[in-house]
Amino acid sequence: MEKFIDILRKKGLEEFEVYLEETESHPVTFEQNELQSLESKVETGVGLRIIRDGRLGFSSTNDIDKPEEVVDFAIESSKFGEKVEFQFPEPQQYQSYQIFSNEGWPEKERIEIGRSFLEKLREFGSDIKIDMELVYARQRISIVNSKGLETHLERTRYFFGISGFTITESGFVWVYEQRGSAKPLTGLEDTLEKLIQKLELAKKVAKVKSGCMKVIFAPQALTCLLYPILMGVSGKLVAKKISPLTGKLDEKVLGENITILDDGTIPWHLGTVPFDCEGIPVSKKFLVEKGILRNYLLDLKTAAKLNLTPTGNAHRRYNTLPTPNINNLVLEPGHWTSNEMIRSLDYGIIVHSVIGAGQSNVIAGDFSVNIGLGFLVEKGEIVGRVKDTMVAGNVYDCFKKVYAISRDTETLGSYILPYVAFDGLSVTSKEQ
Amino acid sequence: MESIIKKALELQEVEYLDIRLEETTITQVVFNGNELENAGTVKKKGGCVRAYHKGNFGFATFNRVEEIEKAVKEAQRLAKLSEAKESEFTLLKPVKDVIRPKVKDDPRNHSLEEKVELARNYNEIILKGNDKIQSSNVKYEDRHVKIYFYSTEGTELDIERIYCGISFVSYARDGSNVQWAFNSFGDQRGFQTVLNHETDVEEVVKHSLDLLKAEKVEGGVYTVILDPRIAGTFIHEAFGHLSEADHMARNEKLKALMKPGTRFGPDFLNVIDDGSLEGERGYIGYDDEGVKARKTYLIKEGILVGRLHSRQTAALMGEEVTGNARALDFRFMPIVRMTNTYIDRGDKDFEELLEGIDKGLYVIGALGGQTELEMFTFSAERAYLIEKGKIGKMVRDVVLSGNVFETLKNIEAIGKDLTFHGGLGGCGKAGQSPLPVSTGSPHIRIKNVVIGGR
Repeated sequence: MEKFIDILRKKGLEEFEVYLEETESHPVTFEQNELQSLESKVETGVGLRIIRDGRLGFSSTNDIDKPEEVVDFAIESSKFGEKVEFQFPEPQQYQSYQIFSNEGWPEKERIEIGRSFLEKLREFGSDIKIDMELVYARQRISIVNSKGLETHLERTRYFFGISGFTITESGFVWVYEQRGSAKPLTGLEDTLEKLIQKLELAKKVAKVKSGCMKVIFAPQALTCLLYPILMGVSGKLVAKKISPLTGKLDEKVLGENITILDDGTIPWHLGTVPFDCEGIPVSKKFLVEKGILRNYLLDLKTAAKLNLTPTGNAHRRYNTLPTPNINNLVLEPGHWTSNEMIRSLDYGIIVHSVIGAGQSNVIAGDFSVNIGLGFLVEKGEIVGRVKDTMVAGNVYDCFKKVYAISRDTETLGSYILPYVAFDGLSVTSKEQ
Repeated sequence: MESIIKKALELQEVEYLDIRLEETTITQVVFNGNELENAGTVKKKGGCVRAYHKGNFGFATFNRVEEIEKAVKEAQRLAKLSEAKESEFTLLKPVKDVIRPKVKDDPRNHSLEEKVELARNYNEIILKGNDKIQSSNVKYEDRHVKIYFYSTEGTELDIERIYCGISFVSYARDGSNVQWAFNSFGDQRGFQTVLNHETDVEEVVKHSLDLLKAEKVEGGVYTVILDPRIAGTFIHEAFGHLSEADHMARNEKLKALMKPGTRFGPDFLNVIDDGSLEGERGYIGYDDEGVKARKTYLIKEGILVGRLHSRQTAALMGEEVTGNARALDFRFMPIVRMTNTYIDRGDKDFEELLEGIDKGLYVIGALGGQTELEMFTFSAERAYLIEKGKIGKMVRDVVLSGNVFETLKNIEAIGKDLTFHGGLGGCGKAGQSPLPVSTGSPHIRIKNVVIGGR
C-alpha cells in the first residue's frame, strides 16, 4: 500500500484513492451425490483512482510488486477521464459491526456435513441428485485516500448452498436452498427437508388456464420482481434519467403496504459493513416507505451528479470502478403466515423459482418469466406443478396490487424476504 | 517461465497435475451518456494448480509465480484429504503446441486515443439521434490473453488469444416509457471488427425510438420465425446446456433420456459445437485441460449423436474427450462449457419461411436466455407481427419459452443464411461468467411457442 502512495506522491498526484482487496476463498464442492473438489483460492489486487486536472483516472492490478506500471496506466487513463464533480471523503466516524468470526470452518468438518446429508438422502430412498457448496471465505479491504482517510476491515463469510435435481412424471425438477452468514452456520439440516418436501409436491402436474389470476411469489422467486426496483433506485440510472423513479423522491411509487429498506447494519448479515467501498459510513434507511420513495442508492459520483448526499452504497471489486448497489435488502414482513396465504387462495399459482429473470425491459420494470417451479392452488390446496407457463407484468403496477405479505421470511444472501401475494397477474400457458 | 513450471510439476505426489499460468491485459473505453466513464488498461496475472487423485480434485490459485510450489503442495493436500474413490479421469498422450492469434489488424497496434475517438463517434451518433434519446452506452474492449498450460502427462501449451469488440445501447424515453435497443460485434479477428458500424448504430437508434411506439406483445402460443441472432441463443439454451455431460455423467435417468440415437428434432436439424473455428469468439484451439478443440455433432439429421465432455465426464461415461472443459480464468476450475454452438444451414429462403403463417411473430435480436435443461426462456430485442404471410407492425417485450422435448421437434424449417454472433458478453454457468462463446444459426421457423404477455 505504502509503495503505491509513495509513487503517487512522487508523480505529483494530489488527489488519489488506493483500494486494496485481499480475498481468500475455500469451497468444498459436492456434485451429483459425490465429493467433487476442494479448492483454495487467493487473490490480492489494488485499484487506483486519481483526479488529475479535474479528470478521473483509473487502473488496477493484481501484480502488486509493480506499482509503477499501474500508476502510469491510471495517469494515461486520466487524460480521457470524465470531469470529476465529487471529492474523495475526509476521514469518517464508523460504528463497529459484527462481520468477522475467528472460528474458521475446517475442510474435514465440511466434508462430514456433506456426507451426512448424502447419508440422509439414501435413507430417504430417493433418486434425487444433490449438488452442495460449502464455502469458508475471508476478505480484507483497505482504503486510503489523499484526504487522510485510512480505514480497514476484515470480514468472514460462511456459505452453504444445496440444489436438488430429479426427473419425475412432471419432468425435470430443480430445487435450491441456501444459508449464509459472517459467522459459523447452524441448523443446516432443515435445508434438505425443505428440498425433499418441494420435490415431493412437484411429482404431479396440474394444468392451469391462461388468464389473469392471483399469484404468490415465494422469497426465492420474489428476487426477480425486486431486481427492476433496485435498478430503479440506483443512482446510476437516476442520474442518466432513464430510471422511471427519476425525480420521484417523496412521491408514491408503490402500494401503501410496501416498505423496502436497505440496512447495512444487521449483525452477521452478508451485506453488513461499517463503510462502503469509498469509505462512506453505511446506514439503515428506507428506500420505499409505505409506498413512498424515500432514498436512492448513491455513491460519491452519482450523489454529486444529483446534488444529494452519498448513502454508503458504493460497491466494487479492486478491478472495477465503484457503482451504487444495495447492502442488505429488507422487504418489510406482513401479518399473514405463508400457509394462510395459500389456504385462502381460491384459484391461483404459488411461484418458487423462475427461468429468465432480468431479460425483459427491466429498466421500465417489465418482467416476463417462465415458471421454473410453481404450483397450482385450488380452494386452498396445492393440486400440482404448473409447467410451460409464463407470468408477466410490470413491477411498478403489480406492487400496487399486493393483497398479502407473510410474516415468515427467508434470508437469501444479503436479502431478507417474505412471501408476497399479487392480485391479477397475467399468466400464459399452452392451455388457452 | 517454462523451467519454473516444470520444476513445480516435479513435486507430483498424485495421479495427475496440471498448471495454468495466465496473463490478461484489457483495454476498455466506456461512454455512458455524454460522459466518458472509463478509458484505460488493466492487467491481471496469476495461475492455478489442479491435482487429481483417486476420484478427487484439489485446486489452488496463486497471484505471484514465486508461490507456484506452495500452490502445488496445497492442491495435492486438498486432493488427498478425502477418502479414495475409483479414478475416473481421462489421461491423454502428451501434446506440445503453440497457438497464436490470427488477427488481421492487432488492436494493440492502435492507441488509446484512437479507441476513444472510435467509441466517441458511435456515441455521438446515438446522442444526436433525436430529442427522445435520453442516454447511451458505448463500450469498446480488447483483451489479450496469454496462457501456459503444462500437465504431468508432458503436455506443454503456449496459447495467445486476442478478443476485440464493441457494443452500443440507445435509451429512448417518452414520459415514463423507457425503451432501449442494442447491438454488438465481437470476435477474435482483430480491430477491423469494430470499424464501420455507423449504419448499425443508426439502426439501433431507430429501433429504440420505434419501441417507444410499439405495443406490448399479447401473451399466447405463436408460430415464430427467429432471426440468426436469437435462433443462436435459442439453440445454446435449448440444447447446448443439456449437452454438457456434467449434468448427466452420474445421473442414470438423464443418461437414459439422452441416449445416443434418440430423436430430438426433424431430419433437417443439425446442431454442432466447434471450438476449432478460428476467428469466432468461442474459438479456443485447446481447452483449459489441454485437450484439443474439435467439431462435435450434438444432433445429426434430428438424432442425438454427441455431447460435450471434460476429461472427467468422458471417463465417467466411457466416451471420447471433446475439448470442452473451460475456465473463466485462473481463479476457476475448468467445467464443461460450450464454444461456438450452432444450427447448421438448411435449404429454405426467407420467403419460404414466411409462407402459410396465418398469425405469427418475426422475432429479432437476443437480450438473453436461461435454461433449467428441460424448460428454457430466451428473450428478443424486438419482434414484428406476421399476418397471412406478411410482416406487420412492431411489438415489444417478447420473451419466448420452450421445452426441449417439444420445441426442437416443432422446428418447421431452416434457412440457408447461417450467421455467427459473438458480441462482448458470454455465457454463465456455476458462477463463471461471462465466458466468451459464439452462437450461430440461419433464420428458423418454430410452431407452438409460448410467449408471455398481457
